[in-house]
Amino acid sequence: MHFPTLSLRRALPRRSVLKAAGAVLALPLLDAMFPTTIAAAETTVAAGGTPRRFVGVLTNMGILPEFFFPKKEGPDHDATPYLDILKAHRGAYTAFSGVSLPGVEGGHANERAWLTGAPGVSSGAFRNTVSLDQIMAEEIGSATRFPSLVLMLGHEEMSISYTRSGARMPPIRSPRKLYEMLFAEDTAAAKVAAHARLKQDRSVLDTLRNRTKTLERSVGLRDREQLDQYFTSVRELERRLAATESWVDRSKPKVALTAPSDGHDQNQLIENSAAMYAIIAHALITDSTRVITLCLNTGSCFPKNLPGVTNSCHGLSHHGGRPDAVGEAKVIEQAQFRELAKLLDALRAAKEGGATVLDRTAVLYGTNMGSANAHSNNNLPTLLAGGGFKHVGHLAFDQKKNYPLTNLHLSLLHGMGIDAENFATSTGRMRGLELA
Amino acid sequence: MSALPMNRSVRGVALATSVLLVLVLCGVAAGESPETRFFAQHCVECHDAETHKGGLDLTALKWKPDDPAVFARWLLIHDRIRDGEMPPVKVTTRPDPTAATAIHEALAKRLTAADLADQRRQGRTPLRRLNRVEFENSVRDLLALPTFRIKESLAEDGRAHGFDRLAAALDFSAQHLQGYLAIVDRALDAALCPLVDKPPVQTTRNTIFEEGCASSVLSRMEAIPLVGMQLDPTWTRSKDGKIVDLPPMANAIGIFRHPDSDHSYTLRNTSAVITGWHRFRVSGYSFAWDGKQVVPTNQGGGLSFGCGGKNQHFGTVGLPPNKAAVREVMAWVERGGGATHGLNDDLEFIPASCEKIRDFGNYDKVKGPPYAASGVAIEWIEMEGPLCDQWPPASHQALFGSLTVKEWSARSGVPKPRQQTWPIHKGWSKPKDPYGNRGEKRPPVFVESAAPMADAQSLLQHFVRRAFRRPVTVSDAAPYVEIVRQRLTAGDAFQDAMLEAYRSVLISPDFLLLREAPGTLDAHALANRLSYFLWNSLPDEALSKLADSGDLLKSEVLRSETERLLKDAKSQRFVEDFLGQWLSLREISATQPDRRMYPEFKPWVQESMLMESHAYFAELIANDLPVVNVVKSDFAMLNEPLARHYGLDGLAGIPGVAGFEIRKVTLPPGSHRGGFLTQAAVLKVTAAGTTTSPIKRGAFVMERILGIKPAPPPPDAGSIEPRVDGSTTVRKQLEQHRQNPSCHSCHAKMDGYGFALENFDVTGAWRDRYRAVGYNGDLKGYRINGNNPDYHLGPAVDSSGAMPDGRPFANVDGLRAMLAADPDRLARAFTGHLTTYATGAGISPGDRPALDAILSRARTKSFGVRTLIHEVVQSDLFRNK
Repeated sequence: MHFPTLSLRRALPRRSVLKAAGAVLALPLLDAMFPTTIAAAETTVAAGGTPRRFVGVLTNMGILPEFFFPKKEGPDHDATPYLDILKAHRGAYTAFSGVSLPGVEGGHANERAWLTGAPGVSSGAFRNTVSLDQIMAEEIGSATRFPSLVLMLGHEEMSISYTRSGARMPPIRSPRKLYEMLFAEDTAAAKVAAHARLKQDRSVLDTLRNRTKTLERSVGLRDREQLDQYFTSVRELERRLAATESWVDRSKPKVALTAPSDGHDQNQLIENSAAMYAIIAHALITDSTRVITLCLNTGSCFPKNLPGVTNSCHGLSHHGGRPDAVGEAKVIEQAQFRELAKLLDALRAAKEGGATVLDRTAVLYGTNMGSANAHSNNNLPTLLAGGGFKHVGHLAFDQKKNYPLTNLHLSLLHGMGIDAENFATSTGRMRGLELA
Repeated sequence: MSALPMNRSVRGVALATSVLLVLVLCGVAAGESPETRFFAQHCVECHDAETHKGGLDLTALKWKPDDPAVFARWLLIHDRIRDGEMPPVKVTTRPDPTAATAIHEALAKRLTAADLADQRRQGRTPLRRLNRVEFENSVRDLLALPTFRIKESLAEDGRAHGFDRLAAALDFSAQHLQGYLAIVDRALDAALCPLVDKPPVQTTRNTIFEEGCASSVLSRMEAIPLVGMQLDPTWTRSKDGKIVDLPPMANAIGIFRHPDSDHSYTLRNTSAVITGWHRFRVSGYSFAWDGKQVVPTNQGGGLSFGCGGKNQHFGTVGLPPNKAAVREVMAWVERGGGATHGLNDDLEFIPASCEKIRDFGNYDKVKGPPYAASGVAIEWIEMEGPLCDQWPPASHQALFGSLTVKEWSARSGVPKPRQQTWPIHKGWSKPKDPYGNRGEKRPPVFVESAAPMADAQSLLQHFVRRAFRRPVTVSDAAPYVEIVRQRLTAGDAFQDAMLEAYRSVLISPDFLLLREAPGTLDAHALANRLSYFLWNSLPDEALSKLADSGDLLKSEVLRSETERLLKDAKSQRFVEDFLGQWLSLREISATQPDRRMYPEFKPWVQESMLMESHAYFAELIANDLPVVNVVKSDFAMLNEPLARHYGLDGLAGIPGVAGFEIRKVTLPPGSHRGGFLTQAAVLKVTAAGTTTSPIKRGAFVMERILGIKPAPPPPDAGSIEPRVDGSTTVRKQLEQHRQNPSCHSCHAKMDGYGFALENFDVTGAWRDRYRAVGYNGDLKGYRINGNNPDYHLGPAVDSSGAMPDGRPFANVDGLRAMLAADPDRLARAFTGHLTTYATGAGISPGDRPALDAILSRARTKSFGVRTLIHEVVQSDLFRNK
C-alpha cells in the first residue's frame, strides 16, 4: 500500500537474539553511574553485539536561531549562548546548520514529520510514514523489555513517533507512570492477571483473524487492500503480545531513583523535563529499552517558575521581533539546554564495556521550525550528541539551499547497525559526519 | 489547482512507453497531429527523460488510468494546461489557445470515461474503517454511554480531500487495534451496573467559607470578600492564614481572572461519588471594580465548569450584572479520576468572562486589584447528583437486557464476576461517600441469568445485529456465543463471559469497517450512510426497521428519514463535525492571541465563537436558507460576548443582546458581518496567533468557499517574517514577494480574498489600524490592569483587493457582494465538500454529471442548504457504492 520508505539490503536476523538464546546471555558491563543498583539489575544485552541506542527529542516551538548557531565551522566553533551550556561535551556533539527536511513545510504541522521525513505535511491528502525510532524498534526492539518508549510533555497530547502505517503512537505523559512501568516490580497477582489477559487477547485475535479471512472472499480488489491492512494488524498484534508475554515473569531492574511526581502541572516544563530525562538515562543504562522519543510540546506551557517569563512558549515564539519576548524565550530555551546537558552528563558518566553509554547512544535534539516567528521550516537548529560518531562541532551547510536532514536520519539508522539504503527523502548519508 | 480533484490515493508512479503511444490512445494519429506538436513544442523540452522537471517525464508516462497514481498525473497535466499554468508564463513561445483547449478537452473526456468505468467496477467509495469520532459515537450509542470519552485515547485520523472519512487516509495498524482493545475494555467496564439499588442523590454546596475552596482563593488575596455587593471591610486574614469576619458576614467572593493562561479555581472539596449526571448550580452576578470599590456594570459575566486534569469542559453559564441569579449546567461527572484519566481530577471553575489581570496577590494590605477590572461574584456553587432517570442504568440494559442485578455472596452459587472499576474517592471530599473511599463498602454484584447459554444467544444476537448494522443470522453471532460457552466451561461468571464476547464484537471487522458491495447500495448500506452522515453514528431502531422492510429504498421514505435525522438532536454531531473540518473549527484553540497585544480576549468569547458558527449552520439547515448565506447574510447568531466583541452592542438597530445564550439578530447596515467569512471562529482559525496572514486566509477562501485547491508553494518560495512593531504591514511585505512574476501568478488568485479580511484581527474583532507592540502615548487614558496598554496603533489597514479576474473591491463588503453574486459557484463548492463528507470519497471527474444534477435540482430553491442535503442524499453519488 505505501511507499517503501526504507529498503533493507539484507534482512537482519530480527529477534534472532531472543529466539536463539531464550535466556540472559550476558550481564551488561555497566559499571559507573549507579554501581550498586546496576549490580542488582537483571538486564539483557545482546551477545556479540554492542548495544546501540537512540534518543530523539523534539522541542516544537522553535529554538531561537541567533542563540544556537555558531558562525565558525568545525570543532573550534565560537561559543553561542546555547552551545556554551554543552561545553563539557565539546567533541562529543555536532551542531548542524543549513539543514531541513525536503518537502516538509506547513509551519507547526511539520512537527509530525520531524522523525518521519515524510514530505507534503500541509497537503490535504498527507499520510505520514514510519518514524525513525519505530524502524529501530522493529529491528532491535525485541532485545529489551520495551521495544521503544514514546514520551511527551505538554498540555495537548502528541508524539513524534509513527507506525508503519503512519499512525501516531500514543505517548506516555506522566513521569511517574513511566517510572512505574520501568522500575516498579509487579505483584505476583498482577503477573498472573497479565498472563490471563494476554491469553484472552490472543483468543479474541484468533476469532478476528478467522472472520477477516472469510470477509476477504466477499470483497473487491481495492477493498481487499484495506481489509489486508486490518488482517496484518491482527497478525502484528499477535506477535507483539507474544513478545510482551516473554517479559511478564522477569524482574525489573532496581534503580536508585525515587519515583517522581505525576507531572500534572504541565507549566513546570523544566521540572518535568528533568524528571523525564532522569528516567530516560536510567532506562537506557539498565537496558530496559534502547529507543526513546520525547516530544516537548511546549506551546501552551507557561514556565512561570523561570525568572521573568510572563507568557506561554507559543505566545513567546510569535515574538514579532520584540526584545522582551525574545529574552523570555531565551530564558526558557537555556533552561531546556541545561536539562539536556544533564542527560548527556548522566549518559557519559555511565560506563559500559570500556565505553560510555553516551558513546553508544545517539541523542538527537532539535526543532521543526527554523524561525518559529515566521513558521519557517528551513535552517532547522539540530544537535546530535554521542552515538559513536566522529563529532565535528559545527557542521555547516548552505543557508539558502539546505542540505537534507533525512541524510542524518539515514546515518542514525546506520549508526544503530541497521543497513538501510535510504530513509524518506534522503540522498545518502550525512556528509561530513562519519561513524567512529 | 484542480477543480477536477482526484479520487484515489497517489502511489508510486510507473513510467514506461512514450508520449506518442499516449496520443495514439487519445485517439490521435501519431506524428502529424496538432496535439503531438503541442506536447513536442511546448512540454517535452522540460518534461523529458533528461530534465523531467517536477518529476514529470512525458516521454515515459503511460496511459494507464487504472493506476491511481498515473491517473492523478494525467489529471494534473490536464488541470495545468486548462488553467494556463503550463507551459509557464516565462516561456515566450506561447501555445495557440485553441490547441491547448483541444488537448485538455480530449484529456478530460478520456479521464472522465476512465473514472466512470473504474467506479462501475469498484465503486466510488472504498471500504474503510470508522474514524475515531464515528467509533466514539457508535460505541456511545450502542452502550448507552452518552458522554463516554473515547476519541482522545485513539490515534488521530488522517485526512484526504479535507475530511477524515476517506479510505485513503484511514489506515489500520496494530497500534490502532491495541487502542481499540484498551478503550473497548474501559467502555464495557463503564457500562456495568455497579450497585443493586439506585444511589442516593446528594447535594454539596460550596459557600465563601468552605474550607479549602473559595476561602483559599481569598486568603491568597486573589479575590475579594463581598457583602451587600461591596467589599467586606471587616474580613481579615491573620498571618497564620486564619480568617476572621464580623457581622454582617461576607456572603460572596468577587473573583477576577488570574494572569495564567490556564488558571482555574478548584472546587477542592467536591467530587462525584458515583459516575453519572450531575447538576452544577451557581448563584452569582457580574460586577465592575474601579480599583477601590465595586461599581455597577452593564456587562453580563460568565462562569465555566470543568475538570482541567481530564481536559473536560462541562459548560459555561451567564451571570447577570449587579444582581445575583441562579444558573445551572448539567454534566456527566466521573467518580474520582474517572475511567480514562489518572492524573488530576479536581472539579474546577473559572470566571470565563473576565480579562486576565496582573497578579495582585502580593498587595498584602490591599483587598482587590489597585486598578479597574471586571469580576464575577459567587455566593455559592452547588453540585447535585447522581441524577439517574432509570436503574439499572440504560447501559446495563444495552448489555444484559432485562436481566437483574443482585448482590453477590458466596452463597449466590455463581462465581464472583469482575466488578466495575471504581477510582478512589477523595477522603476529605463531599458529599460523604457511602461506599467508602476505595469502594470497600460497596457490595459486589452480579447479573443473574437462569439460563446463561440461552440468554447469551439472544442477547448477542440482538447486540451483533445493532453493532454490525445489518441483518444477522445465527451463524453471524455463533463465534461470539462460542466465546461465552468456552468461558462458562472454564468456570467464569456469566457476566465476565458476556463481556469477553462483547469485546470481540466491538473490535471485529464487521463493526469497525464500513463495507458496501459495488453498485447500488442495499437498504442497510444506505441506512448506514445516512446515519453516519447526519448522526455520525449507527442507525437507530426506526431506521433499521425501514432498512429491513426495504422501504428506505423509496425516495420519499429516504427523504422523510433524512428529515427525521436532521430534526433529531444527534444531528448536532453532523453540524459540529462537518464544520470542524470544512471550516477547520476543530482548530479553534490551535493558537492563542498574545495576551499583551489582545488583553481583552477571554475564554467565553472563544466558546461563543464556536456556538455562533454551529448555531448559524443549524439555522441555515433548519430554514433551508440559500447557500449565499455562506458568505453573506442579513442576520447573525449572537450572544452578549460576541455582540460586544463585534462592536455591535452599541449600534443602532441592534436590541440589547444580554446573556450567554445565542439568538438570531438582524444585522444593521454597515455591520461588516454576516456569513461564515466574517465569523470570529473562522477568522481565528485562519490567523496565526498574533498576526494575520492574507495568504492563509486567501487560500482558505479559495479552497473551502470556492472549492479550488491552491497549488502548494514551490520549495524556494521563501517566507515572510511577521512584524508586530508597526514598521511594516504584511501587505507591504507581500507586495515585495509578489514582484517576482512566478510568485505573482499564484498569489493573484488568493491574496485578494485575504486582503479583504485584513480588517479582522486574530480574534475576529474589527480593526481599522493594526496593533503594534509597545506603548507610545497614542492610547493615553486607556488603561489595562492599571497600566498603559502594551501596544499602540500602527499602520492603517488597507483591505482593498481584486478578484483573480481583476475586478476590484474596496473591503470585505465588496468581496462578499462579489462572491454572493455567483451562487452557482458557492453551491458547487459547498456541495462538493458535503458530498465528500457524506460519501467518504472525493469528487473526481466522473462525478461531474451527478454533481450537476444535484445543483440543477436545487437551483429553483436558491440552493437552500437543507435542499442541498436532501439532493445529495437522493443522488446517485450517495446511493451507489
